[in-house]
Amino acid sequence: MAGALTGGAAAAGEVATTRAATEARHRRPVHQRAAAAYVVLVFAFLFSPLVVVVVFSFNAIPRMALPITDVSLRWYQGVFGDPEVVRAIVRSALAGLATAVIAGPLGIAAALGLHGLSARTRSVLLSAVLIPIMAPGLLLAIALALYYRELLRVEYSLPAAVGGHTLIALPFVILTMNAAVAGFRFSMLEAARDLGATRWQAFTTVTLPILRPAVLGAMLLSIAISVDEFIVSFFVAGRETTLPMLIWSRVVRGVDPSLNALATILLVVTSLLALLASRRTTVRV
Amino acid sequence: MSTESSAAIALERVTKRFGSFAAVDDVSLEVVEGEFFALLGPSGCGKTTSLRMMAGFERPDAGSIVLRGRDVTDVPPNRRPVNLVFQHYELFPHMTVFQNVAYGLRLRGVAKREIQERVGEMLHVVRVAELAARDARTLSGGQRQRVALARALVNRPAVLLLDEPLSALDVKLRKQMQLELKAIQHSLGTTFVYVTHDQEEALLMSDRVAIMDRGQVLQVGTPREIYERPAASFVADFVGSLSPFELRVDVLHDGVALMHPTPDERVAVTAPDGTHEGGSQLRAAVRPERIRLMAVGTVPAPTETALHGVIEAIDYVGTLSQYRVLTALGTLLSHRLNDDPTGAPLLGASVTVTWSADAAFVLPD
Repeated sequence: MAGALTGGAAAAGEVATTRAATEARHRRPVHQRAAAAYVVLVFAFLFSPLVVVVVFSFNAIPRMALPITDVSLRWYQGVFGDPEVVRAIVRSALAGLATAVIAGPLGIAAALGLHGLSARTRSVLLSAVLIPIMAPGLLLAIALALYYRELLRVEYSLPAAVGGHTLIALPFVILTMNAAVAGFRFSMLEAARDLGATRWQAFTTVTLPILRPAVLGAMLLSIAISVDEFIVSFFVAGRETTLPMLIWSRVVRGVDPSLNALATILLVVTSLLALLASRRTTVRV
Repeated sequence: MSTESSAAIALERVTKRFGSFAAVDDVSLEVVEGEFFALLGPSGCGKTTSLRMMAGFERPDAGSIVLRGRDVTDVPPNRRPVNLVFQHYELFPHMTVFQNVAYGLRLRGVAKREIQERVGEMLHVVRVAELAARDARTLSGGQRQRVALARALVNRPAVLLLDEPLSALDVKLRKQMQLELKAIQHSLGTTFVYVTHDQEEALLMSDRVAIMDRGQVLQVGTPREIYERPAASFVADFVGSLSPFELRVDVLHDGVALMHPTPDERVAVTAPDGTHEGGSQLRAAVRPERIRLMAVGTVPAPTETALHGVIEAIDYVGTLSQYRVLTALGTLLSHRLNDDPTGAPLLGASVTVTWSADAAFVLPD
């Protein structure tokens, strides 16, 4: 009885909704159009500076004004023809790789170690891990500069900058690896041990291969962080200028269209790395 | 060091505590070479802990574990010639079926050709030969189970340990795998130690069963001994269903105790001589398949039970029906095969309830 009643009502309602839907397709309600416009605005706000840089890096004339009449790769040619720029790119690449190679294994070890602790201790430590990156970058840079000079008596250099980059990347690596380790079935290691594997063999034949995508993702993320890093490098890299430092020094000298090309290169490299990293760390079933 | 027993694996006065809780409390067990041995008990009874100590994943706080006469208490799992089939299989998801099964042999440096042969052979035994190249994570539950079994058996362990390996399968598949596991054990002759909480499974598959409760072994025996002559009330209650009762003994003669709950009713229980005397209280029980329901007016033999009963409820379970019969002893359970519908008692009917003296057994304290 009740079923029949609601059934009838539903059928009547259906006719009404279909008509409404047809109309709505032509003329959405005001609040929906407002929401759509808002989303467009947010994205415009987020991306317009990047778009401007990328667009003008292809502009043939050295004036940043619209409309663009001629497209050219001259700024890119100029950039790669400049030995100072090439050296900076090489240094940034080296620093990125070194950061990944150091922060990767340290982060895996830390995540595995954290897993062995009680849930309470682990969550406290995981929050603590974030403190260095929550602290103002400038503070961290000054602290590192003093630390290197006064305590360690280390020359400001690229390796010193790598130390700083590792410090910044490590919390991200630990957090990424912690998520991967949380989904790892440690009982699988018992299976390996049962079948004759030593602890080390179980680690190399089971733990590492299963965590490999997350490890690679975390290392790519480390490269991206290092390549992008400016403040710490500025304080402790000394004369071994990295790419962001070079861009800064040129901006100080005055805006030069080749900066757009340099910035675009940096943008493409770091976004590609971050994209790859996020695809690797997404959990696969 | 120890023992000249023929045990494939033995626990000798083993205790394992977690904090103040004794998961396994002074347990001794001997598993004979070549037998299918079940560790049966409710969850938390210590059966899995016992198994994990045999495998080497838990170290006993006291006592020792002896494998073929060798004390292996301090030998790590990778150096014990036993293998464990895990409850959730723990196949390696980044490997193929073949690689999973070959894992143990590779670690031991077995020659490539021999690995090929032995893995192929074992996959054949567990009937998944066609899956060799498949990714382990694409398998169904039943297939995983078989591959896990092959991965352990291919190493030719002195003892194969199985931790509730069928509990993750659906009923139909579980029944099939029970028979198949039993057949595999029989044809390979490997000693199996099988942990389960499913009493039916333990009875069906094993040569001998150890019943555990609260960290202790209550009884070790063949399925028939366990079922028909339980050594403890817990065992009687845990394995199968039964109807317990307690009465004052009137006459004890020729190993049969006779009791009269009412003047014209009689209960007969086999009671070993010297265990009871006239006037003492006796706790006993009967299995449902031993209780017969007769038409009113039937006169049972003088050494058989004769009770008035009324059918309180009938539970239809396919091959048989379970009758709940209200008597002077309370509600008794009686099973009757559904092979002949004529003469089956109806709900509310009066019946004569009877069993022979040897059908009932004294419940140990």
